[in-house]
Amino acid sequence: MAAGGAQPILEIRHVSKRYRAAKPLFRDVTFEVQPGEFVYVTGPSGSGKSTLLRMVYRAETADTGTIQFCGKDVLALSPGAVPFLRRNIGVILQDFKLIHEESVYDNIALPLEILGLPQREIYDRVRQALDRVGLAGYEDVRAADLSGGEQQRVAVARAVVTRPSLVLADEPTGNLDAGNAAMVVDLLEEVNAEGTTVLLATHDNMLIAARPHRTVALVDGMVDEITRARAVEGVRYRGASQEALRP
Amino acid sequence: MTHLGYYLRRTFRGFRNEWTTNLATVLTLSVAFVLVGALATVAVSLGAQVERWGGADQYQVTAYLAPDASPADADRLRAALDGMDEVRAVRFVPGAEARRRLVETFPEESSAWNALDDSFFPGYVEIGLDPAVADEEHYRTLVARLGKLGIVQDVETHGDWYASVLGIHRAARVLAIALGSLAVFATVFVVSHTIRLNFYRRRRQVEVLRMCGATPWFVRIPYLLEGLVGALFAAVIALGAITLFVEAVRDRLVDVAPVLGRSPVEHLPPTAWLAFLGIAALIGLSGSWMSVRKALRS
Repeated sequence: MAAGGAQPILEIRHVSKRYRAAKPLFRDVTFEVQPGEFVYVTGPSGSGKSTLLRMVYRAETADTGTIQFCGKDVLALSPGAVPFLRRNIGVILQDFKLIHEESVYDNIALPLEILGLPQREIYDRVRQALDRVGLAGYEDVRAADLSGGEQQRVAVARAVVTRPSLVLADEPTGNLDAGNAAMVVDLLEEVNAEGTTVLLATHDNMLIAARPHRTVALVDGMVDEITRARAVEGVRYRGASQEALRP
Repeated sequence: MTHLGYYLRRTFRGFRNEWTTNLATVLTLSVAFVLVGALATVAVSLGAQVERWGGADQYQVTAYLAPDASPADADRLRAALDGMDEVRAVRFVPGAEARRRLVETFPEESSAWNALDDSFFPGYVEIGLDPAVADEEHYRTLVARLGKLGIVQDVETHGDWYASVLGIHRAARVLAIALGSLAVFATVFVVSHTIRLNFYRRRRQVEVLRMCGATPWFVRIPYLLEGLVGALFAAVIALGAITLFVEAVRDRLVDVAPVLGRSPVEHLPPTAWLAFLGIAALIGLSGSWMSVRKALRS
């Protein structure tokens, strides 16, 4: 999927972050993502995967370094510009982050309401997004009444309904069983196939082995590009097989 | 304005989802507004009375004639008063007419009035001074001179009434302003705490909104509208209650109205309604602004 030579959609350069002076979370993290790529960010729990993703949509700041999104340093944005950055990025989180008391329709329509689109267009786009994630007919169901897998599919629909250029998925399969996890990754791969860049943070080596894409590992606070073979090795080491991951 | 529909829907949902908290707040605000509005009504009613008595009526003097005063004495007194520059109007009211007026004013007690002896109804002279010519000095001099006349038994002036009603009116106005200020202070905090509670209950929604690229104003406006609509709703309830209260009091005081010249209880004027609604709007907006600003910062 990598489009070599094109202007990167995301350039992370020499980014460091520490919460405790004695132990930096990561240091000098540098890598870039080309438009249309599907990239895993992996590493053990606490390695800073989520923090790195949160930095991209400016929910966190870095101690040093730059993160260029479409040529703009998101870490240098004024607070007033941050909402406009986020409108170009779809975010999917492990805990789905849906508004439980509202309907599926309202949850998916929210980013479009923020953009101020006409109600007719919002309606059409929400219907399309629901069709895409296989939840047509669920418009009026309360988000709280959905299963975990359905909730994550609604979260995917919400993330892609604005047709963003980048989707950040932070452990999107972390709370799901194998079948639902595969369905969510299928959806993300579909979105990616249509040209949207996807950056997926996961510590699930089985997923990485089963669905091979470029992988960036955060190990001991440093970046390491790893190959599929090494990822598969990691799965074997844990006694699993690729076949077991397929739905 | 592209977001207006969204803001209104979100405000309505906010009211619906947290209806118990919002209802309690609206009722609390209504009670506070009713208290202030009732006091304002008293002040306005007294003010109207003061205005009436403070105009031409302020220099109204009634000289009750002695029982032995003859019609000729009354005519001479009237002629003398008529010749004075500062006197605007003089009218002699014979005892029979005084009785008739009383019967007309209190018809239920007509038999009692009619049973009384003529001596209970002395004739009197109503003297109206011209406010354009007469000043306090003219007024006092005339009252003193009338009191010394042998044919005058008693002199009644509206000045004494005026002074006491003016005092009560001033006190009511000060009390209304003081109570109103306290009510504004208290209700701003009631609104602020309600909106803060609602905000924390919908914390997740705020997180999602911000994650999806909502500006702080986009997050804030539905909460500001919630405070505004709640306070305005409370003000409308309070104004409705005060209007009903004034009507009820007027019905009960219907017998007193002719004595005072008109109804003793006045409805709040349209300007007061507008001021009431304007202050309520400010209370709603400032209360919710305080809490949302603080909550968004945290």
